[in-house]
Amino acid sequence: MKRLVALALSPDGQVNDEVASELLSQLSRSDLKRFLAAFRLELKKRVVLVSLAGRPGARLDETIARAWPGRRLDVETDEALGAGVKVSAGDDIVDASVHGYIREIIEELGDT
Amino acid sequence: MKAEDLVRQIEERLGTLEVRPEVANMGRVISVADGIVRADGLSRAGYGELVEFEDGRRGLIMNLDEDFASILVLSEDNSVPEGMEVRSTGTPLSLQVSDDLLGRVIDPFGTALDGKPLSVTGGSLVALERIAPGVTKRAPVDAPLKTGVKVVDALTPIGRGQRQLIVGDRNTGKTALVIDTIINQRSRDLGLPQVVCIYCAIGQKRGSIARTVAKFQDEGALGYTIVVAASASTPASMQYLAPFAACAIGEYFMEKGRDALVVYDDLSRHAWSYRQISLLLGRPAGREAYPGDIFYLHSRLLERAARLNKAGGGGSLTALPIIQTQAGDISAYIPTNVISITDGQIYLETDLFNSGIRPAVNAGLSVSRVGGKAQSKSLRQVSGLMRLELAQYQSLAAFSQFGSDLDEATQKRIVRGKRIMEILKQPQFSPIDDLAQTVSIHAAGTGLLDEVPQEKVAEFERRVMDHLRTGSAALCARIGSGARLDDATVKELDAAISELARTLRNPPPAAPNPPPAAR
Repeated sequence: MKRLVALALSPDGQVNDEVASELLSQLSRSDLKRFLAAFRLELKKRVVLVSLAGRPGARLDETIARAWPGRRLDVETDEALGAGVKVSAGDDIVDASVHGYIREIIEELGDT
Repeated sequence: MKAEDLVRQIEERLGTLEVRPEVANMGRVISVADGIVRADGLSRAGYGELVEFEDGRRGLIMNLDEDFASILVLSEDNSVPEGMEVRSTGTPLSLQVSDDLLGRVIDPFGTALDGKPLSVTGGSLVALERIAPGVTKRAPVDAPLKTGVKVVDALTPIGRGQRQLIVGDRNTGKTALVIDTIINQRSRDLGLPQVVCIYCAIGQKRGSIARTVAKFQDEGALGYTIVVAASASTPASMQYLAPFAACAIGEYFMEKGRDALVVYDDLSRHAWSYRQISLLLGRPAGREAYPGDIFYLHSRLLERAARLNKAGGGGSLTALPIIQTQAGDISAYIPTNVISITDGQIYLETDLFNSGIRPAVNAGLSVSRVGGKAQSKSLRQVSGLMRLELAQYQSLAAFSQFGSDLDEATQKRIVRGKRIMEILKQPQFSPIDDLAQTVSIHAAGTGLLDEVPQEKVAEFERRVMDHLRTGSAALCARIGSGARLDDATVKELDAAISELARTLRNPPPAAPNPPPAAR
């Protein structure tokens, strides 16, 4: 499936129409489901989603580009974080928010 | 606890908390079936890594496919909902081990099953899966692990650090033999250090496990024993992990310089549980539907049994795996695998069991490849002769039905062989020390019992030991030391046994009854 996704989606994010129509006509229903899951995962990997409680800083773009080069940056506001930032890049999550700290504290206290 | 104490504890906790951004590798459950979860994501997770589900349940990564990871759910409740988040932990499955576990019954994750609170303080966190000690860390097996069972200690002796298979059909006394071995460790025979015992019950009925634990309790063996139980009602994942947990516990004690014994009861059921998991994971099935790595499963487990050299602390881990055969077929897949991995096997036979020979050990098919070097010198000296006599008897046994038609020499061999077979019988839960074993086997092998009626051999054996222990303490001390028996000791022992045999053959006349008292 990963190879099919690589054929269908170019590194710059463009879909190859020819491959896409071939896939739609040739793949069975179950294979299409698998393809969709792999395609979504690939799209997710190409995007870095930054959730912030407040306004983004001036050097956010630069910092993200250094850590995850070549990925698109999406920024969203999430007041539930309290303060700080939460970055989702593919299946990696870096949680440096107040919400995350509190959860971590609760887990630690629960272990004691 | 007072409210102020709680506030103080939280403040202390918060004061020491190292606040760093949490970095996690996440996945999402895409399908669940029969305790196997498939999750996408988890691109950084490794094989055998522990993962945590959103609701706190844990899982073990068993397969890493191109598009998903297959996870074994490590709880009795397998109902993980689709879409649930799962995060990698970066750690292997581990267990906290310390002396606090002694006398307890636990599951493979260290949770108490005996209804009492368990708090394991100190000790170490040990991984269930580990690489076995290397060649340079090992020392030769040179100290005996006494089972207290005459036929085993004499014919197929076990050394500390050895792997000895116990194989046989159902109801042939396999578990009874290992229970006797564990019970015998309380006596510290030959002045050897105490052995920490780990009994691992795999796929057994809960009632059977409870009976075994009660027996340990009754015999005073529970204090130095840990029972790791994954009963038949637990998921295959727990049965698969139980022997690895037991081995990890044994390794902890071995690395502390102590001697440990781990019993896997039994590895046939362990192979079944692994076959079930492998089939559910979609791995290709091989012979008897077992996966291709079934040999490696047992070899990597049993290879962890070792005797460490002095630089490594000098501890040992002895493994007694049990395999159940079907209709006496020891050439089946799993038995032959484990036979080739271990350093010997004790084969228990249904026919012997049914004919009243218990333990029903088939001396011809049983072998110990390294234990002989660890046997006490005195027992090795006397058992060599007995082994020869027994082999001759077994080759002549078929002729014994012809009775008087045989020549005198053959009849003598048969008579002696029958006495040897009789002396090797031993009731359950009555292990005996090296001294009693040496005396009994010497008496049978040298023909001192030839004149004793076969049905009185057991009684004679008991009386000889009583006689020696009460009247010949110095002789007992010499024999019980385990040193080679010199000519004078052998002569003295022969004289003592012969004298008692004579007394039994010709009992002294009973004292006349006193006349009735006059009224």
